[in-house]
Amino acid sequence: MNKQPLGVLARTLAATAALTAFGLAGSAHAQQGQPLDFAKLEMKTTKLADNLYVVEAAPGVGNVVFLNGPDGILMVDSMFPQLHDKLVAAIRATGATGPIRYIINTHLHGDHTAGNGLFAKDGTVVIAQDNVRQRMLAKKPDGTPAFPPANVPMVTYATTMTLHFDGEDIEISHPPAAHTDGDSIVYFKKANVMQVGDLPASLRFNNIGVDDGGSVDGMIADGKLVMKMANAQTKIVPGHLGPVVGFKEITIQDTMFQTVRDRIAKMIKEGKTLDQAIAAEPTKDFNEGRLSGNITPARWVTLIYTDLSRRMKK
Amino acid sequence: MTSARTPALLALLAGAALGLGVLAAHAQPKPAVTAAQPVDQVNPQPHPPFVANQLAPDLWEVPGAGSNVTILVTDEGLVLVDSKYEYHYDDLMKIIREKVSTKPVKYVIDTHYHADHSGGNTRFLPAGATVISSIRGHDNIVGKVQPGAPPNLLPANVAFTGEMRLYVGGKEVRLQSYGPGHTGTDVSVLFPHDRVICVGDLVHIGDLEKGGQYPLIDYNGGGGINGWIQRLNTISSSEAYDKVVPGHGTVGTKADVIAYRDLLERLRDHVSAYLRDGTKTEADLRNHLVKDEHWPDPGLSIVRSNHGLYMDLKP
Ligand SMILES: [Zn+2]
Ligand SMILES: [Zn+2]
Ligand SMILES: [Zn+2]
Repeated sequence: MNKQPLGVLARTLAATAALTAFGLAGSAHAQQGQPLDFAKLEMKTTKLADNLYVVEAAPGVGNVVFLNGPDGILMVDSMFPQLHDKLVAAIRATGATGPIRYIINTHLHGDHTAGNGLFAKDGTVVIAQDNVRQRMLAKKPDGTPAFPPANVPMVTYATTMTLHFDGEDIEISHPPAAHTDGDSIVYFKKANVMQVGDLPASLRFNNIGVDDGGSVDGMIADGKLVMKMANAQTKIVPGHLGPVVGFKEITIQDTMFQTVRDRIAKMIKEGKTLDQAIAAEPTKDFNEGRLSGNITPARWVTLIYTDLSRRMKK
Repeated sequence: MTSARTPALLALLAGAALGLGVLAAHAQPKPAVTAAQPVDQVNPQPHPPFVANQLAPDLWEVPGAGSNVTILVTDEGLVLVDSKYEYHYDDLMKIIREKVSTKPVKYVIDTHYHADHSGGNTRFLPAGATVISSIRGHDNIVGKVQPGAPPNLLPANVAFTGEMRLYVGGKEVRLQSYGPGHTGTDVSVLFPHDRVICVGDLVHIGDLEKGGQYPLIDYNGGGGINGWIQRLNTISSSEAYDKVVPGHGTVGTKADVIAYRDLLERLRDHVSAYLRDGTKTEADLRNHLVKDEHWPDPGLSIVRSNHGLYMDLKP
């Protein structure tokens, strides 16, 4: 449940406005707003279970879940290299002293993976779905790597993995392509905590990785899938705007995704242009409580329009 | 017993939690072979000194007691496939340090859950290695499915179903997990740049003209003869390797994979035909396997496989 009052959230979003930082990783996502002012960001740590925490930095920075215990520390996602020291300090501040053994990336985007390299340099093993590695290593048109090679995961899986660490059973599964085609859902089974990355969860206009194998229909399907995999008591950690949500938020997001998707599909069928679709404000009745942040309503409509029109052409 | 068969037998006697029996010729019965007895999986057993054989510039194997161990050397550390019994750990590390590399062991992969292959988990995990198995391999160790396995045997800390890949020091390692086979936990490990595949106990490379090796089909651990045949069809259809490292015995080629598949097919068809009229009991099958297939009795292969084979193949 996001306990931040909306007014405060609005101010936070406006102030930090997010995310050229995506661009650090060189991924193709056009992002609006100011660059993140890393020097000013503070880590906020929330305890989720005995040895399990979530660290938040800003709406534009991927949330990091970490598990601590006798085997050391396991993290989900890694923020940005500029936040490395603050993130490590936040982890240590909980009394966790062991080595950071594993990072699991929920997907390839830089706000979740750009921090990998500095941890990997110290021996951390970085795990992700196969497509994360393939896409991160793909060359940009100018021949340079899409992502810094140091950030690329060195252990990959295709469909399912489990980690047994610090007495916890961690199930990593690859759902059908949604936010990207390399998404992982990370389920801490004993603690009943599920990190879902950028699948529909918190109340926002989620980025959709339309050039990374993602799709709006995939997002809708995986939002429903999360509710099948989890139960009503599961603490669901979203990639952004946490620390924790539940079925209520996912259901609200599901309704929005479905409704806006259908509106835009109808406009495409009617031959409306992208500009006309944006002008029609198909998200209007959903804007409240989903302040623009990284993805404005216009940007979100663009993503869905782009995705659907590509698919409808086929 | 010809001298050519001796190494396999030695491997068998030394490592035989497996219970692979060396088979008297099917066509020309020989005197009953002494059945392999379970090895003590907990207390150290004497074994001939370990040696390290080089398979490629960056790839080695340490055969002998326990299981074969394959070692990939990279700048970032070592990848081991299988790790013998826990009590072999010191001798194994000694030969690796002397002959192979002084780099840290970064990953250990269990080809399946049997303690002659996974025993080293118990030492490599606390030493900081990532130990990888199939998910069922992990679960079978937790569930203490293998009789006589060390009670302190540690399961892998990373497990998977399907495919997995490691990228270490610029080299790629491809792991594939399978359904029912030798066990329900089998994993193959391919080193694409060296064109070498490790197949654990899915393949036994023996003297097939003289009858080959009797399989242990670990039905309790999720194994099954039809699945096993399918696994070997899959592996033999791959063009990605030239050398095959089995769980025990000598390194071979795809021809050995095919030969072992043929042996399993023949065995399955023989047992199915024998059971077809529906009048045979489990004890009948056991007697028949001893008499007609020359399975050593009592031996681990017959003790562990007979019931499952009967239930699996009876009409
Ligand atoms: Zn994100
Ligand atoms: Zn075995
Ligand atoms: Zn074996």
